[in-house]
Parts: sequence; structure tokens; C-alpha cells
Amino acid sequence: MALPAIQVAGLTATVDAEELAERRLRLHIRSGVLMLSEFGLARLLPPSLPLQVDRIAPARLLLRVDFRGRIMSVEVRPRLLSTGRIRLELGGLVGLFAPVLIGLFRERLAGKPGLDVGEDNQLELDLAEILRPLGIYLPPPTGLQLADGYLQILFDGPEVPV
Amino acid sequence: MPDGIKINDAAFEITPGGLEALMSHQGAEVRVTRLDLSVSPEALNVLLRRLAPEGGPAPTAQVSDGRLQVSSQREGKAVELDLQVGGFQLRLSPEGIRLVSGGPDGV
Repeated sequence: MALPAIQVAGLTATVDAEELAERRLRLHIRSGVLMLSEFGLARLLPPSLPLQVDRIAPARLLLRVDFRGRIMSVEVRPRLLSTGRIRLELGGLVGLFAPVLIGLFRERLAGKPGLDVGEDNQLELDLAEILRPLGIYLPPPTGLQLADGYLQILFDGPEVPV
Repeated sequence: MPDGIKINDAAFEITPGGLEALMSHQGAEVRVTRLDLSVSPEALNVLLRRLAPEGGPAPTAQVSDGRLQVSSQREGKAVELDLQVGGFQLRLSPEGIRLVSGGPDGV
């Protein structure tokens, strides 16, 4: 059986009944664990980004970047920031090309919610901002782990009044 | 229980095919493997209002220990359903869905 692309476990959340009665979703997530497989992560990245997910490995992501027709292997170290955003730090030798790559990402990410180039010229991901238009409200993540083949994000926010 | 609909514990999975369908707006496929959900009386009444015929009075529900009372009006006549059954168990089998009165404690 194929590995699930997305797995959610231990989910606690509230659903707005008034919105649901109008057939709209307003889901406030309090806690849970989100696991993304390599396929899941690759499919969630905007297709306008010249990136392919090669592998999720402990503490790092191995990506391939199409840099003006030339394919480059890139190692990215995701890091959870105190703001709740996830910073994707370019590592290895490719870090030397970071300003050029970031310029390319900045060009392709214009107008994409939740993905932008933050402080220190690094790519940053805001899951809450990505999911908000779908009626899903996330607390800031409290943990981020990468293991062979999957990425795991933990949420443990305060109780949300209904 | 606080007002509203509360997911106390849930787990679900989306397969690669399901995610592909979701992302290309060709459908969805979600496999729920765990669900513990609470609906407050207030939220239940909000949802029942949705079932009311246009311009007609909405059914109302009251929930107390082991008892569910639903009241509605049909052609000006009151209809009341009083379920003093303790609780329900929903059983799923190849024969279909079976709703059985009585809680896990045998009430």
C-alpha cells in the first residue's frame, strides 16, 4: 500500500456551527500532528516554483532546482522560527548561490500567500496563511521534525473558544 | 461541554491519488481512521435550523443526561420525539449502518 501523502493524528479542533449550517468550513485547530511524505510535500509546493523534492532526510530536505534550464541539487534545512513560520535555509555549497536562487524564488512567488522571502534573504513558509483561505485556522507550529521519507509538524495551541 | 462542535480526537490520511485529485480540483479522497466529536445542544439547534422549511419554524432539540428531545411543528401541529435511551452506538457492517440505543455502559 502506498504511503499516505498526508497524515493527521491527534487532531483537536472546533468547528463553527453557524458557518457549517451555511455549508462553509471554519475549523480552528488547537493541536495535532501533521505528517507529509515526499510526494505530499512535492505536490503542495506551488507549481510555479522551479523545485522538485528529491528526498526528505533527517534534518534536511534534498531538492532539485531548475536554474534557468540547469538542474542543481540543493540541500535545505527547515527551521521553525519563534513567529511560527518555517524558514528553509539553503545549505552546502549551493548556499554560495543563495542570493541568485532567492532572487529566482522571489520572482516566482509574487502573490503566493504563505510563501515569501523573509529576513536574511531566506525562503519562509507560513502554513497558517496558506490554509486560512480554505477556512482552516492553525496555531503556530510548536515542533518540526524531519525523518527518512517524511516531515512532521506539531501543533499545540491554546484552547479556542467556540 | 463548551458550546459548538468540538473535535476531541481525530486522525485521517490522504493518499497520493487523493491529494492529486484534491490539488487538481478533480475530487477528494480522505480516509478517517479515528473520530471523537462533540456537538453542544446550541450547535445542534443551529444545524437543525438549516433543516427547517422556508419560512417555517425550525425543529429544536434539548439534550440532557441520557435523553434527547426534538420538537417541531408540522402543519401547525406539534410533533415531539423524546428519546430516553441513554445513548447510541453506531455500528458499521457490510449490512449497512445500524444505530442501537444504549451506551457503552449498557444504559
